[in-house]
Amino acid sequence: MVGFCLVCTLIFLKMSIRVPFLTICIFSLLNVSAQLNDTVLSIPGVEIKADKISIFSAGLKIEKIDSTTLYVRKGISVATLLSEQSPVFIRSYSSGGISTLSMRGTNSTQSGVFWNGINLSQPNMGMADLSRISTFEFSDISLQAGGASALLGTGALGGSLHLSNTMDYSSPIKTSVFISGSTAGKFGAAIKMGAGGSKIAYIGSLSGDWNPNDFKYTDFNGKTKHLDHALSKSVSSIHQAEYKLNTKQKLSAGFWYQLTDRQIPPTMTMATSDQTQWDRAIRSSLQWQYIEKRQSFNIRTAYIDEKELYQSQSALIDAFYHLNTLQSDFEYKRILGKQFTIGFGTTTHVIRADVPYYEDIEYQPEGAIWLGLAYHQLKNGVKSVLNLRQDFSKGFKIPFCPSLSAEVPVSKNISASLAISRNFRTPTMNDRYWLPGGNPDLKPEESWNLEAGSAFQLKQTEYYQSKISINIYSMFINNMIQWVPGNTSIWSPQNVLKVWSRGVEVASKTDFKISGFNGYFRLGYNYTPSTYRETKETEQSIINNQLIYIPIHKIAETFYVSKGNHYVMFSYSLTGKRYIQSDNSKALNSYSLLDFYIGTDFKFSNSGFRLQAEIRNLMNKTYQSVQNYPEPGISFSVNLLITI
Amino acid sequence: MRTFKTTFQVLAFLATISFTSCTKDNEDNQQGAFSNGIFIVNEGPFQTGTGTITFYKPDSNLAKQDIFDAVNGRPLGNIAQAITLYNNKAYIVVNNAAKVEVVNATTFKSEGLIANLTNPSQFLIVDSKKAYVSDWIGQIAVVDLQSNTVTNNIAAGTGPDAMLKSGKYVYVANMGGLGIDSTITVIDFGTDKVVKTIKVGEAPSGMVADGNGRIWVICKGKGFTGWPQSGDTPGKLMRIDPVSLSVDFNYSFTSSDLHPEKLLINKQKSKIYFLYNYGIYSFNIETSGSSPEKLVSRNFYSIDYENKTGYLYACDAKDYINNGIVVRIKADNGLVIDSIQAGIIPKAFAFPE
Repeated sequence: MVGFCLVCTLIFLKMSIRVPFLTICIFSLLNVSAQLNDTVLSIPGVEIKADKISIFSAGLKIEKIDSTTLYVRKGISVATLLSEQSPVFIRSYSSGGISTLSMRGTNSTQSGVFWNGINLSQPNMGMADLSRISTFEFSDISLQAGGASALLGTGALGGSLHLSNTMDYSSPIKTSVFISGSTAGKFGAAIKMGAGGSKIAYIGSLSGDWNPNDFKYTDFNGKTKHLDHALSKSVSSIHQAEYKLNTKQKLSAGFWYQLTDRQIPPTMTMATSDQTQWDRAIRSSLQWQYIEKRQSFNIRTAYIDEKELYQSQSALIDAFYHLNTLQSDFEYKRILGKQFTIGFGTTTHVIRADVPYYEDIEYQPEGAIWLGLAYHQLKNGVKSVLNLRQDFSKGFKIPFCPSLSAEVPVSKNISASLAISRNFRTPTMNDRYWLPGGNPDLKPEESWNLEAGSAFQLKQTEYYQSKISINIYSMFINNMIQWVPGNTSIWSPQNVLKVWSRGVEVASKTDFKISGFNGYFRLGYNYTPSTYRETKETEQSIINNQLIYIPIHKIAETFYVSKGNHYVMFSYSLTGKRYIQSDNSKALNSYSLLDFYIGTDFKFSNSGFRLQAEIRNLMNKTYQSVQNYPEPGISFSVNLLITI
Repeated sequence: MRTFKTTFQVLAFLATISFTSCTKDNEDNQQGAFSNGIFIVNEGPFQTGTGTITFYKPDSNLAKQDIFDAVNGRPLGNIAQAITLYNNKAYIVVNNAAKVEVVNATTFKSEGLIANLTNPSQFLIVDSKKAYVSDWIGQIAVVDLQSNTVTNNIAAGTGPDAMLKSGKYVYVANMGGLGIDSTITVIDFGTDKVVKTIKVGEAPSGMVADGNGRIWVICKGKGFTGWPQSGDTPGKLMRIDPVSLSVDFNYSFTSSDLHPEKLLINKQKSKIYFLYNYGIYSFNIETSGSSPEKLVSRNFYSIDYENKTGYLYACDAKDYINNGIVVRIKADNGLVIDSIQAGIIPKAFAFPE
């Protein structure tokens, strides 16, 4: 299957670029329809902002969402962006409901989400809701695939998502305003401002969304229904500032206020819902950096305050959660000789969780020490990194996590990478303290991850250039936590599962420039078998079955072309069937979605304008990402971006 | 050409299979595909799933899964609770979908829907014209069986659940829903009026009538088995005199960590059965001074009793996320007969008369 995909991709890449535009579109669609092809958003060699990653991540697969995609898909949620533009799987609980990241056959608690290196996963749930984060707020969005606990700590088993903004000291004041509206009643408005001088740089945004999610769907009787009780309102404001104290020292501050108030709609098998959820998060950080020619210090502290109110009158639920996290990091890096960089650091967290379903307010102190050694042979481009990390957490013995990775240029156009790592995830606060059932004796989940990759720069002409990358991996997860019923119907988490996730990820991108047309075609495919290796004695029949809600196949394709100030983009994704029972007796059907965007840029009175129209789910497909949560059919929206 | 021919043959073969299966289904339906068998209600997974109905034919030992969806082409709805057979109709209570589905008991084709309910739990045929539906919202809905509409609501206690018709009354166990209650509401079904509210133990969860028309009530007590908390209270087995409508027998279980639930009576009306202490218990109601005896040491989620065979049907929900099984047990001696493959979280039954 994968080999066939590769052949098809290569055939496509070898085609003359003089193929008419329409033919390319049709070809790309046929490719996907036949479930043959592969994608990923890769641009090799990107840097992620978290400092130690930029130096100590050689050999890891890091994909940055390209700036054109971010420009066209401005103002949507990060969940929607990844769902349509990337072959990773996003588990979506309907439009407006929570959406979480699932990478490399792992569940949502095993993939990390970071903002400038600060973990956004809620400590009680162990996952982050990507439906609440707008792409408008960030200039850099990157996906790192595979285990990276030796760098990032808990939760980075399947991979991680990184969000950040690039600070620009050279730019004068620059403001952009974004307004959008859709046929489902959504209205969004946002403003972003950046300013820079010789010593100071600032970027800040304020965005708000009002979305009734009033879309139609077909119920099980074949009748058209409106989704009820699905209003979602959100406000988010991010500010980042940097100040150069002198040529060597820099102070940075970050602040993020996020408020979401939403109704939780009924599932298709429920009559009504009166559930509501209100979330408010305030995240702030302060950082001091000292950078010399051959060494650097970095001290940072971050404080996160999260509140959540979950209510349901009919279920007599009025639950208020309050979580605080104080994080402090120290890092030192030094260049040794001509080829080595050494780094070490410490990190500490204290989590305070005031959750109504815990017996008391719980405190969870955590810490880690890290040592990294990076080798970079400038002459031949060989890079290699050894990371060693030991975490400490109250009540757990966390495994020592080493990682060794390398990146080797095989020839002018081919590079290869190899990485092996041990990774872990500590149980969430709910796993430990939830009443009833919380289990304080849980062990952390741990995994061994082995992966290899290769990137090829294919033929380049003045009209087009193509690249393709292939990654394979194998990951064994032990002590995986699952909530299971004990002798009664009281559920309790236990370290009962062993899972083997392995797969192949193929990505290609072809940029072209011909007769005034510029554009690209990007194709990504993830093949993700992830199966149970061991479980409770009574459930042995699930061994070798695919994990629930992990599609074995996911394809994402994007075709973008511009001429002059006008552009169009098609994006197509195909998500394979997902089992919904671990005995694999029931599955949700695969679904494919096609989206279309058309826009134009123009100038007026020294300001830049972009007007864009969008059609999502162009083929009006009926589908479910999670069982019985309806998703919208075809919808239309327009948006205006003004840059002053 | 050869490929085309092969493809054609495969398609023709598949079409034949489809046609054959359609024909078979139609024949089954015409002959009464779902007669002379047992219906098992499976709750389905709680959050996003749907309940299902398993049909089991004891003579052939075959179990057909999810027959409601198979016949009607749509899922039953979130959290199926109970099924009642009457007049060749099956009434299926679906709690979170706030409805009672009415289907033909032979073909299982949908014949109607009882709406205007909030959190329905149990369905009770009162007479040929009306039924009661207990609704956790705190009321009993009176349903006209001709029009399948709710014609009246009778106020009950908190979280009314089990119902029992005996004599001229319907007894309603107010289990407490997500809160706590400890009363039985007695309704004169001739007038649909509450005649008395009887104080019993906390969380009454099951009732049966013995040969003398006395009502036995099992009360869970406060708390959950497997999660002992301070303030928990032990369960109780009580009896209500149908004339004075007062409690005339009160047995208190010793442990406040274990909570009995479900209550069944055998065909001879001599023994009652309930779930307790990770097993099935029996209690001889004819011998005074007797105490509960453990019949089976195995934890079950729910249980029912079949008069025809004298078997207990005990539900093993396994991991609550995959299909469970129903274990058939001889009520006389606790011996396991066999087991039936069911759906996710098997809960309730309807046996053919």
